Amino acid sequence: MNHKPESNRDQIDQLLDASLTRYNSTAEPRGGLEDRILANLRSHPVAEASGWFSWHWFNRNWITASAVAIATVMLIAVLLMPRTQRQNPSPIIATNKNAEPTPIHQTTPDTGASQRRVSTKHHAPSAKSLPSQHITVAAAVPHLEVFPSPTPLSAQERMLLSYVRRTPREVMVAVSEEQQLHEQEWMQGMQSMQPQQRSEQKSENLK
Amino acid sequence: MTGQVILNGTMLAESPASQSREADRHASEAAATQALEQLVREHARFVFRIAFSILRDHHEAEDAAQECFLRVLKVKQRLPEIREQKTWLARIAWRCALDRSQKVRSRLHSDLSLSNSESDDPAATLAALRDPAADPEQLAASAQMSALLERVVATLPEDLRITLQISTVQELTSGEVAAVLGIPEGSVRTRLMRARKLLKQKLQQMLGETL
Repeated sequence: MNHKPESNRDQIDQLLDASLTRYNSTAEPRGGLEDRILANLRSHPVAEASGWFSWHWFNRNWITASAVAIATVMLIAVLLMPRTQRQNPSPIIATNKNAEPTPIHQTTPDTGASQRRVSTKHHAPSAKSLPSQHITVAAAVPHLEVFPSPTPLSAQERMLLSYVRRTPREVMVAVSEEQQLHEQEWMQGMQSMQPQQRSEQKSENLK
Repeated sequence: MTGQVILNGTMLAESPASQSREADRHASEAAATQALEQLVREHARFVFRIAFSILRDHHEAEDAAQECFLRVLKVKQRLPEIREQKTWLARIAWRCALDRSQKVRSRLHSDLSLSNSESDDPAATLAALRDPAADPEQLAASAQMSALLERVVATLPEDLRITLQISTVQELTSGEVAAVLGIPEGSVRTRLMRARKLLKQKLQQMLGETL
């Protein structure tokens, strides 16, 4: 009764043995595998031996390497320097000889540089939070002809300017001469006084 | 004198010590290249067979062999230090084949199913098995049986399948298979027994269905 299944089982065992023995028998490469591998190896540069940055390269080119290192350090230092230190902070007013001396914010064309300067001055803490579009527009505007960039006049400067405009030239010359005369008298008086009296006079003037 | 040479920036290239270092470097480079070429000549086919045992595709196995020796190229200076070069190489080849099999798994599966549909006829093979006069050697040599075995092996759990496939590389002993897989030799034997048992069960099951 069990003869047939047992013979089948033996046959399967034998078949399995034979099949597993042959399982990898077709694993034969095409001819010239070694040559193809060697050709492929020759076509590839060796990273360890001939890499552009190796100790050997560094030994031979130490001057270049030093120069590159120093330049890199300087570049990093410049990039890391605060922006305010790189700009000249002196607020010099534009001297346009052809135009009438008027407040900058009225006559000077609205440039990105001036905007950027004002923006940096008043909104510096929130500079990083500015939209990228605003920064792009400001950077795209060409540089001014006058450097440093002009700044708006103060209140006292505007008052002086309006006074100069309103007052006729003859009056101003007369006032100026009178002022000079008064100053000369005052200087002569000061020179004739003793040093102690001079200091007292100065303190009185200050009061 | 030394300072002048340093200022010229060519001190290391011109000094005798540097020249001897350069010569040593060239000599070691040449020796490493020669060792690598010898390794390729001796073991290229062995590497190919390991890759083929996993990938079951000639083109993929050759690509894996190429990749394997490219990895060796990166460490060719250290080749003389490696003691068990054959096992070491087998392990690299096995890793390359596994990496490659993950990349092409879907394509290989589709190829396998295609080849099965074309050449594999399980019913005919199993009908031949039922014949007591059939010669197992002849059956095993048939393309149908090879395809059937491929299909059954592919259903094995991964650890059993990989162990079985690697162990079919005839150049490898069970100890070397263990070294390649990084497991004890006893585990290799256990896995092979389990794999064989599962294969037999599946074949019997298929045979029972046709009977």
